Amino acid sequence: MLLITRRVSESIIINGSIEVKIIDIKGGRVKLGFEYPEGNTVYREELYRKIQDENQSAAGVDPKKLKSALMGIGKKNDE
Amino acid sequence: MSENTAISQTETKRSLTYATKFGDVHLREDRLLSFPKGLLGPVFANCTVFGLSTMPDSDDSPLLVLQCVNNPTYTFLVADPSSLNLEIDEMDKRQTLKELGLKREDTQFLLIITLYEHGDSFYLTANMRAPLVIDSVSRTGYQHILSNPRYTTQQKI
Repeated sequence: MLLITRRVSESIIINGSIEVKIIDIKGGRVKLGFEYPEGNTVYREELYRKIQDENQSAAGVDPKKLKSALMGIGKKNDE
Repeated sequence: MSENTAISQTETKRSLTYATKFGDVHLREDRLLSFPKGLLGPVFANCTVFGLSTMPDSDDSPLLVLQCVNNPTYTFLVADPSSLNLEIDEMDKRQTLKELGLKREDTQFLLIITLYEHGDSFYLTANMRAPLVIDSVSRTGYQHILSNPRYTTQQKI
């Protein structure tokens, strides 16, 4: 892993087009600012992992349980 | 000449059959969808070609089968948000299309469906935070994370 020390308002440039700037450091939290061209994406790691996990669960849907769940939807509508 | 035409027609309408866990699905080869970045996650990044089918043995199910063609072990259930009475806000759709560089009239949003257990019962959820966005003209799709935190990955349906 590459380690770089930066102060507030200093930046890092990635691939000549993505800028990550240290906006503020307070109480053990760092506020980062990002400038990047369209077509790139920046996410918090937790969110990215959550969606990966969700995809994993979605790929593992059990067809027998699905039938039961779909019957559940029918019941809900009758209420 | 006319023979050649006939051959090319049958070629383009050729369909692929997959025995999925939900039943057999028939995917027309000329209707396949390309996902250049796959789906999110290291396992799914290589799922780059998909076919979409109605649910086997069910005429009226809102659920569709999204079968990965280049990695056939992966089969997903998806649905159009409106068929589940769910809605992605116009502003969030516009933002998504801008980020992906797509035109609005050519795109369709689909939600990936997951099943969860609660005690003895099962329920379905839709991933509204990371919908699939499909350009129906180029037949290209992306899984895109919405920046608006009001959408959950597990919206009960």
